[in-house]
Amino acid sequence: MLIFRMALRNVFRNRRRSLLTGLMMAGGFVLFSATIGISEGTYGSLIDMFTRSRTGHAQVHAAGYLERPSLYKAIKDPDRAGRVLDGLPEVEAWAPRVYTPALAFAGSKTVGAQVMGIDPARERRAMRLEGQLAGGAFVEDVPSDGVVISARLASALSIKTGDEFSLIGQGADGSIANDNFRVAGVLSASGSAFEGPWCLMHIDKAREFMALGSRAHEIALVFTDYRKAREDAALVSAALGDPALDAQPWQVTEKEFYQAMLLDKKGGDITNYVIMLIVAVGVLNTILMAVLERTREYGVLKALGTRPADVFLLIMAEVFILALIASAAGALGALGLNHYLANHGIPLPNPISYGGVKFTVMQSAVTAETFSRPAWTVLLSALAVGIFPALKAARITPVKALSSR
Amino acid sequence: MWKLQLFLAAALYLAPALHAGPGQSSPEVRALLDKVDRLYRSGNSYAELEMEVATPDWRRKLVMEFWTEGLDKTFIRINSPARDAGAATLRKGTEMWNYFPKINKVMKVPPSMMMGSWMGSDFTNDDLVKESTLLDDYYGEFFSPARPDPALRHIRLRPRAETVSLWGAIELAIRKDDLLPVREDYYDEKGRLVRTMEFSDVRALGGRLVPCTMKMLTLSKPGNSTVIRYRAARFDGELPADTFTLRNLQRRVK
Repeated sequence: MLIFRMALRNVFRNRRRSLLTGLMMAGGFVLFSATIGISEGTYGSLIDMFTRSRTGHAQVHAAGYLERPSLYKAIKDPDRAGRVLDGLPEVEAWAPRVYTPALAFAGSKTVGAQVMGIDPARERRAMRLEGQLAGGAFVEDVPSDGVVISARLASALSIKTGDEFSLIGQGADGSIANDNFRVAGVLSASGSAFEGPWCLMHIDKAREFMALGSRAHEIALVFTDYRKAREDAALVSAALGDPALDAQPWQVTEKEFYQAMLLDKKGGDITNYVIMLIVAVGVLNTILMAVLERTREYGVLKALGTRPADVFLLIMAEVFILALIASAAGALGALGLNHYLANHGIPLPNPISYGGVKFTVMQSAVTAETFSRPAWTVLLSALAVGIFPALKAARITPVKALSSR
Repeated sequence: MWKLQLFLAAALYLAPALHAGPGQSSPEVRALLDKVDRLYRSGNSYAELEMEVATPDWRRKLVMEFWTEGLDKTFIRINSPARDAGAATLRKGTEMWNYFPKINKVMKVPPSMMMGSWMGSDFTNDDLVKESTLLDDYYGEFFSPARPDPALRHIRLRPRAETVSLWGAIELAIRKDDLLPVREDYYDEKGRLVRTMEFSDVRALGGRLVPCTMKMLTLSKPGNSTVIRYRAARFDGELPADTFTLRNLQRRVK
């Protein structure tokens, strides 16, 4: 207790030095916290942008469809599944879809295409598909031969809005699916989640084309909180209670995107550790200076019979008190900065447009981690860098220390 | 030492020749193969038939008309179900086209697709239009199976060296009394049975005695089968002159 009181007195004795050291730590805290906040916020916006551009927060498929998609692996009764989903408060919106590969013809050009049947009214509530249009109109709410095609399909077939083209594919009843369609709209080349040769049409038109009846290949889900996608997908699975159906979160359905994101996040962590290392070196520098400055003082302490362990503990206690105060101040500062960044964000010099949204500012997202991680890092790194000066002071020989000046 | 090398070289050079065998069918086999090839075609033919395709996922019945002339001209038009009505296939010489009336599109079937499924059935494009014939593309010899049936004769067919064939061998079973086919077993290059066609329901059709039902089973796809039933046929009658033309292919049916 005596050591703690001495440490506290020491901290406040040389206010300027303590303020400098504390500022170093608090500054590191704020910087680290803001970095984590911005990174979480950016990934949050990215996930939101990505999932609501096409995939959704989770998807329901017939069991086995994800591993090996097939025309025949369909959800037999999507209406029943829809009624179950409507009863779940976690599900904000859902949209049924059908898919089939087909051959697209226009003039003398032939190219493979991916047909996607959508329910425009439901997609409007769940996704941002219409915002991905570059020109023309979106798929109408009632079934028609008007379809929306991706920029790649448009260029491969050399067709534009208003032009006609044909699709040939496989019907689910074994027939040859073939029909003529009209281009109602073309998706954006750069800012759309539909990069391949996509052809989007009304789900009932697509079902008629593929002779699929009322079945669906996929139900895309949007939850009230994307961060709970895993838990909510499990919840949906349990609520559906059908072993023939499989609900998976976006982390599973879009495995590649998720893994790339994790990898990117790891890269971000390295940046954070570098920031912390710089802070730690700064702290080491100030504490070392403080110890050297007080060599005579420690010499007196030792000469008076203070044990080396007590001198060590004294310095460690000083560092700990300083780090604690700095963390508290840092947390306060970080709260303010993150609050500002969450509301106003950092404007991007070159706004990114993807999946129907324009990404103009990097915003911060505040979670418990935004504060706990910097706090632990500041405290632990301060204590770690304190060990060396503390040992140095503990080992001082009184005669030498007293003679130094 | 060099003598041994010379001997080995000569042996290696000669081995394929010794192994290849005659590659020719006997006149009796040739006559039988020609009969089977022309069983449903004769000089020219017109037939109405139905095709029932069953898979674990779906089942459907097509009703179609079938025109042939010689072994190298075939025309098929589907009349029902409504979804497929008007779709047609024309084969002339080495070329083959499919026509889809809904999109008014003629699609040439590339040679690489001859072994592909015809309209989702277990029959290949080649089966239907007979681009390859047993007589010209295979050579056969009589053989005795493990469990011989005294009423049947068995011919094992192997592709000729110049034939591009999916099949490593075809085994044909023919009734001794009327020389009508009973069964065809198709083997791949590794000698595995891939598919089987059974002929049944022998009765008079257009003045000839033929098996009116053919059932194809694809063994690699359990639950898949296709049955063709002849409803009516006319052999060696008059056919409209434009039957085997692209214009006829694109003719929209009422």
